[in-house]
Amino acid sequence: MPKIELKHVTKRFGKFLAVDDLNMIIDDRAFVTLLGPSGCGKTTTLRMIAGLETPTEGIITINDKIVFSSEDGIDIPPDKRDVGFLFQNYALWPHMTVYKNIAFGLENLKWSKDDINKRVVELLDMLKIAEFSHRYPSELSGGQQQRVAIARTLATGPKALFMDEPLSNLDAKLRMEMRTELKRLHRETDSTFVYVTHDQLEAMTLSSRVCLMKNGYMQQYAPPLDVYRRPINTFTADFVGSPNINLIHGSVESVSPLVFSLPGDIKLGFDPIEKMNLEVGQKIILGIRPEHVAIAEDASMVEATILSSLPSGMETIVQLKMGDSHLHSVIFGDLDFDVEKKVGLAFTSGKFNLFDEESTNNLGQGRLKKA
Amino acid sequence: MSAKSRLNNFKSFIKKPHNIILIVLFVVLGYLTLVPLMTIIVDTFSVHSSEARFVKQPVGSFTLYHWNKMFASGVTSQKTFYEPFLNTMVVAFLSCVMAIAVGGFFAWTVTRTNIRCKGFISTVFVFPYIMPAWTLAMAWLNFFRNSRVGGAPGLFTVFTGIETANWFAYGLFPIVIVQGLHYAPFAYILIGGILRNMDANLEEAAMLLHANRWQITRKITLPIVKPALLSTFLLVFSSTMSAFAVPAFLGSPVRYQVLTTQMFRTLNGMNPGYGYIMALIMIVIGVGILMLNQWITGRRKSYTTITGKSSNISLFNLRKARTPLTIVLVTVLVMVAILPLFSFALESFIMAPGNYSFSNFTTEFWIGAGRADIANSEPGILRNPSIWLGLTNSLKLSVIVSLIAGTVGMLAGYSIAKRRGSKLSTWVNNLTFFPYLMPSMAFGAIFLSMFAVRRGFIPALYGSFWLLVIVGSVKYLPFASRSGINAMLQLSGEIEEAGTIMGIGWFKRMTRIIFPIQKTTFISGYLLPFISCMRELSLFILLVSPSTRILTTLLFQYNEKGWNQYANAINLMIVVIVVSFNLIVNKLTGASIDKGIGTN
Amino acid sequence: MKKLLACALLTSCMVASVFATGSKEEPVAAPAPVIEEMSHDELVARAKEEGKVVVYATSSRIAKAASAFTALYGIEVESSNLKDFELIEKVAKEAQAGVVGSDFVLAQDAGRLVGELIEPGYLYNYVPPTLKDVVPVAMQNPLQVFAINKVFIYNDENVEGSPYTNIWQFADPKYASLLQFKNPFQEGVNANFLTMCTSDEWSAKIAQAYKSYYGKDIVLTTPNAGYEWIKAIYNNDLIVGTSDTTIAENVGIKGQNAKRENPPVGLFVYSKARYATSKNLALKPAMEMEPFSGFYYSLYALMSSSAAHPHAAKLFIEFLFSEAGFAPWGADCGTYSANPNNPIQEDIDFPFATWQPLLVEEDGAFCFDNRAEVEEFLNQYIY
Repeated sequence: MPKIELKHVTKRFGKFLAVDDLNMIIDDRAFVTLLGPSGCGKTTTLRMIAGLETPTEGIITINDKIVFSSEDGIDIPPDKRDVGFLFQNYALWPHMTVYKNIAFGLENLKWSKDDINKRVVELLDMLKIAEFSHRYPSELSGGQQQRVAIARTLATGPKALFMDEPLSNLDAKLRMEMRTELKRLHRETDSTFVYVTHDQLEAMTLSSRVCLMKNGYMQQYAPPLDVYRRPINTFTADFVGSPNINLIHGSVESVSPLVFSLPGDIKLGFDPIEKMNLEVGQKIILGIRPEHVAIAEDASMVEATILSSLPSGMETIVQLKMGDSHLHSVIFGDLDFDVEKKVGLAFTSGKFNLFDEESTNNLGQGRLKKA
Repeated sequence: MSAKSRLNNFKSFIKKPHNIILIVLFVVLGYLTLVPLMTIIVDTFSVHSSEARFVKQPVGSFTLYHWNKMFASGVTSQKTFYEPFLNTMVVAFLSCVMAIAVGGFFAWTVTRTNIRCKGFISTVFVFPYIMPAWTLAMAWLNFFRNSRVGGAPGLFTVFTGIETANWFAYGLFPIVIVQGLHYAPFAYILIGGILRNMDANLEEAAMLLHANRWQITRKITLPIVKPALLSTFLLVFSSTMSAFAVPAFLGSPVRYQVLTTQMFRTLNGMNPGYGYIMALIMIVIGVGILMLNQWITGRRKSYTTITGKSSNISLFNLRKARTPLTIVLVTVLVMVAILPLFSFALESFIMAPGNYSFSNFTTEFWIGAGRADIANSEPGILRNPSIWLGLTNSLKLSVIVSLIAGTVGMLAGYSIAKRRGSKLSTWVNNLTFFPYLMPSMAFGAIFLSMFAVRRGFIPALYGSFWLLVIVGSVKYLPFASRSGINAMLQLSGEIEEAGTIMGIGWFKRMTRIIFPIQKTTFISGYLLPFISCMRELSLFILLVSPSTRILTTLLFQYNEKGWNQYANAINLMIVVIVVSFNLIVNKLTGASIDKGIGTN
Repeated sequence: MKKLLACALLTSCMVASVFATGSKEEPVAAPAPVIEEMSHDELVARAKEEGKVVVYATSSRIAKAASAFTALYGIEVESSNLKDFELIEKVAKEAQAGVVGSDFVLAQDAGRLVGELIEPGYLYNYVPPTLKDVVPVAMQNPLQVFAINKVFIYNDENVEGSPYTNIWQFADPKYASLLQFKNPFQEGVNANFLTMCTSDEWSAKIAQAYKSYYGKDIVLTTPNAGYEWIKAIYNNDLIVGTSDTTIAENVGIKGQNAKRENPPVGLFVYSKARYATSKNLALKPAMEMEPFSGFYYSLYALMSSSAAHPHAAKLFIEFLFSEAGFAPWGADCGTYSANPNNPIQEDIDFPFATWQPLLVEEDGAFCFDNRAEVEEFLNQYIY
C-alpha cells in the first residue's frame, strides 16, 4: 500500500548541506536500506520521511498523499503519517513498564482495554519477551530493550516502519539473531521497512534495495546485489563487499585491442561486454572483486608475490603484490599459502567494472584476459 | 576472620586515598555539622543570659520554657510560631511554584525551541540569582510602592498614574514574586540540564505513536523530568523557607511575618531559645526534604539512564510565534534582570528621593567627601575606606571559600563516586549535603557560639576572618561536592586505572589526569561557592566584626539605615563584579554556574 | 573493621563535642575593677603610655570622634560601629571566651546593657572625676554620654499648627494607617520605649490622656493603659518601617498633604529634621502632645572589665564630654550631650531641658525586667 516518494528533497542545517536534491521512490513492502558513512545524511533523510525533521526544500509523498511540500506549505505531523520509528537507543520510556510502553500507542488510538491487552500479549509473544512485561526498561538487557522497542513500534501496525541503526548497540551474536528476526518481521507484518545503517553487511543481507549516500548525495539506489555487481562509481564499489574490492589505477595503453597498463609494468587485456569510448592514455581504475582473483600455477595472466595469508577455515584472504599494486584475494577452502612465494594470477571468472579515474564513474563491464 | 587478615584488610583499606578522604571528611564534617546540631538542641532547652529574668531560673539551667511557649501557650504560640510557620510554608511553596514555572518555561524554550537570542537569554537570566535577593525587593519597592508608607510614589505610579494596591505592593504577593524570580534561575539551570540531557527521541517516539503535544507533555516529558522537578522544588523550597531579607523588607509595611523574621527577632533579641527552636524545626523540615528527595531519586524506575544522543534534539518550531515570543521573553528579562540594575544606578545618583530632575542629580554618594546633614558624614563609596575594606574582605573571603569548598568538594565527589554504594560513602554524601539544609542565619548563630571559645587545637575564632571562611566553606560545600560527584560519575573508572597501572602516584593522577579531563565541571564547582559567597548576607551577618566586614553586610546596614543611594551603589558593584567574574571564567575555561549544579 | 573504626571515630567525636559544649556558658569571673583616683595629667600620661584604645560603638560617628581624639592626644583608636544587638552579643561572647576585645563601649539599649553586660560584670560604670559635678547626677549611673530623641514628626507642608495633640489620635480609626514607626524588634530602644509606656507612671499618664481625648475613663482589656495604647495603635494599622531615614523621607516628601486627609506622621529620630533643608522635605515635630511627644534614649559609655588600655579608655570617655568630643554628634540636631555646656544646633533644635519634660525616658532596670513580656505582648499585635 504505502509507496514513499521523495522529490528534490534538500535539508540544510545552517550552512551545512545534510541532504542535497534527493529523489527516491520506495516501493510498497520494500525493505530499503539507507547506507553510507556517518554524516552522509541517511538519518536525516529517514527523519524527514517520518516527519521528525522538516526538509528545507522538496516534496515527500507517502502512498501518493503529499505529506510534505515546501512549495505548498504542507507539513503533516509525524503521528498522522502512519509510520513507526525504531530509534538507535530504543527511546524506551523509563517510567513505564514494558507493558505500558507497548500499550501507549494503542491507548492514544483509544482502543478498548481488552483489545489493547490482546494486542500487547500478541506482541510480547511474537518478540519472546512475555516474561518481562512488568519490568522497567532499566531492568532489561540491551537485546531485550531492543525487542521491547520493536514491539512498541509494531503495536499500532504502522504500514511503514523506519529504523535508525537499530542493531548498532548490540553485540555481534545478538545482531545476527536480530537480523533474522527483522527479516521475519518484514515478511509477517507486510509493511514497508526503511532502514538506516552504516554496516554494508546489514544492508546487503536485509534489504530489497540499497540507497547509498555520501555527503548528502545519493550515489546509487538499486537492489544490493546490483550494487555489488555493478557499482555506479568507485565509492559504492568500495563501500559494499568485504574484503573490499581491489581498485587498481592504470591507464589505457591501446584501444584495439584494449590493453591497460598497470603500475609496475603490468599489462592486461580487456574485453568490454558493452560499448565504451576510451582513448589511449586515459586514466582508469579497474575494479576487481577479491573472489575473482584466482591463484593459479598455470594459465596465469600475470605474476604476483604473496605478502600475507589469513586462513579462517572456510576461506583464506591472501594479500598479493602485483607489479606495484596490492591486491586482496579470497580463496575458498581451508588452504594456506607460503608468504613471499611467487604465484600466477588468473581473472577468469566474473565481470569486471571499469571506472574513469577523473570522474570515478563506472565506464562499463568486461572480462580480463592476458595482454 | 583471623586477626592477621583483619589487619591486612585494614591496611589495604587505609592504603586507598579515597578511603582516607572519606574518613577525614566524615570526622571533620561530622564535627562541623552534627555538633552544631547538638548545640542547637541543647540551646532549645537551656536558659540564656537574656532570658534568666523571665524564665526565673539561673543562666544555663535546663528548662522547657521555650518549647512550652512556642507550642502550647495560646495566643503567644499562635503569634510566635504557628502563624509565621504557616506563612513560611505558604511563601516557600508559592515561591517554589513561581520559580519552577518561570525557570522551567525559560529552560524549555531555550533548550527545546528555535527561539532567538538564546545566548542573551541564558546569560542574563542568571542575574537575579546573582543579585542579593533583597535588592530585588528594594527594586520592587522602587517601582511599585504606594502611598501607604507615604513618601515618593513608585516609578510605576509616576509613569502610569495608577496607584498600586496594597496586596500588590507589599506582603505575600511581592514576596512570592521576588523570591520566585530570585530562584527561577536555579530552577532554570536544574531543569535545563535535565531537558538538555533528556533524549528527544523519547518524545518523538510518543509523537509517532499518535500522542498529541499535550499527551506527550503530560505522559512522557513531565513524568521523566518529574524527579528532577521534584528535586528542584525541594531544593528551592528549603532555600525560600530560610530566606530572611525579602520578607523583612516587603512584609513589614503590611506586617506580614514569617519564621525567619521571628527567628531574627528572637535570636538577636531577648528570646534566643525560641529562635533555636525555629532553627531546629527548619532543619528537621530540611532533613525531611533530603530524605524525600533521596527516596524519589532512588526508586526502581531509575531515571539516571536519561542520557541520550543530545545531538538528536529537534527543536520545536515556534513558526509564527518565534519572533513575538522572543520579544516577550527578552522584555521580561530586561524587566527583571536589567531594569533593577538600571534603577540601582539611577537611584545612586539622586539626592532627594523621587525627584528625577537633572538638578537633583549628584555624584555625592559615589565620590563625595561626606556631608553631615545627609548621612552622618559618610563619604561616597569610592572614597570610603570601610567600603574598600568590605570589598577586599568580600573578595578575599569568596576566593578562599571557593578554593576550599571547591577542592574539598572535588575530593569528596571523587571519593564518594569511587566508593558509591558503601555505607561510609552514603554517610559522607549526606554530611556534605546537610549544610545546605541548615537555615543560614541559624547556621551562623551556631558557629558563633561554637567557636567563640577555644576548642581543642582550634583557638577561639570569635571575630576572626577564619570563622567566616569555615562557615562559608561548610555551607557551600554541597554545591561543590554535587559538581564533583557529577564530574566523577561521567568519568569512567578505567581512566584512572590506566594511570594506576602505569605507576603514576595518586596526587599526579588527580592533577594530571582527572582534573584536566573534567576541568569545566570542577571549575564550575569553584565558581558557585564564589558567587554565593559574594552575595550572602544572613550566613555572615552575625559573624562579621568591623575588621572583617564584607560588602553585603555593609549593603544591608545602609539599606536598614535608609541610605539607599549608598546601598544601590554597592549593590551595583556586587552584581558587576560577580557577573564579570562569571563571564571571564566562562570565557577562559568554559565553566559556568549551570555546569556546576548540573543534573544532580 | 571499617564499621568499628567509624564507630570509634563517631563516639570520640561525640564525646569531645559534649565536653566542648559543656564549657561554653561559663562566664569569666570579672576582677573587681579598682578605681584609683588620679589627676587628669597623670591619666593623660598613663593613657599615652598605653598608646592605643579599642572602642565598640553603636554610632557610626565614633570614627570622627576617634580621629579628633587621636589628633589631640596622639593615641591611636580602633573604633568599630556595630548594631545594638550585635554589640551586646559581641561583648558577652568575648567576655565568655576570655578574648580581650574592647576597652570601652559606647552603646545604647539600656534594658539589655544593664541586665546582660553590667550585671554579669563584663562592663562597669566609670564617671570621670572632672565630670562628677558637671553631668546631672541622674545621668551618671550608668553614665550617659548623649541623649537622642525620637519624636512625633509630621509633614507640615501647608499645615498651620500641629494637627496632632494627643497620642490617642493614633488609636482613633479616623487616623488609621497613618503613624509610621520602626519595627521595635529591629532596634532595642524602640522596644524599651514601649516597655516604659507600661510602667505605672506612664500608664497612669496615658490613661489620663485617654480621658482628655475621649472624655471618659479607659476600659482595660489588658494589664494597664500602656498596654492598651500599644495594642490600640497597632490594631489601628500602624505602618511598621525598617529605617528612620526611610520613614523620615516617606513622611516628609512634599506634595502629599494635598492628596491626604491627615498629614503623614512618624515617630523617629529628631536628627532627621535636618532633611527639611538638605533633602527638601517638610518635617516638623509635634511638641504639644499629651502625654508625651516622643521618647529619648541614651548612649552609655561603659568600661570593659578586661580592658587592655583602661587609662586611654577613661581619657576617651572624658573626651566625649568635651566640646571637641561631642562635635561629631553636635554637628547635627537631635543629639544632646550630657554635659549641658555643650552647644546645640540652635536654628532648628531646642535645649535638652526643653525636650526632657516632653519625652518618655528609658529606665534600664525596668526595661530589663519587663521588656520580654512587652515584646511578647507586642508580638501578638504587630503581625
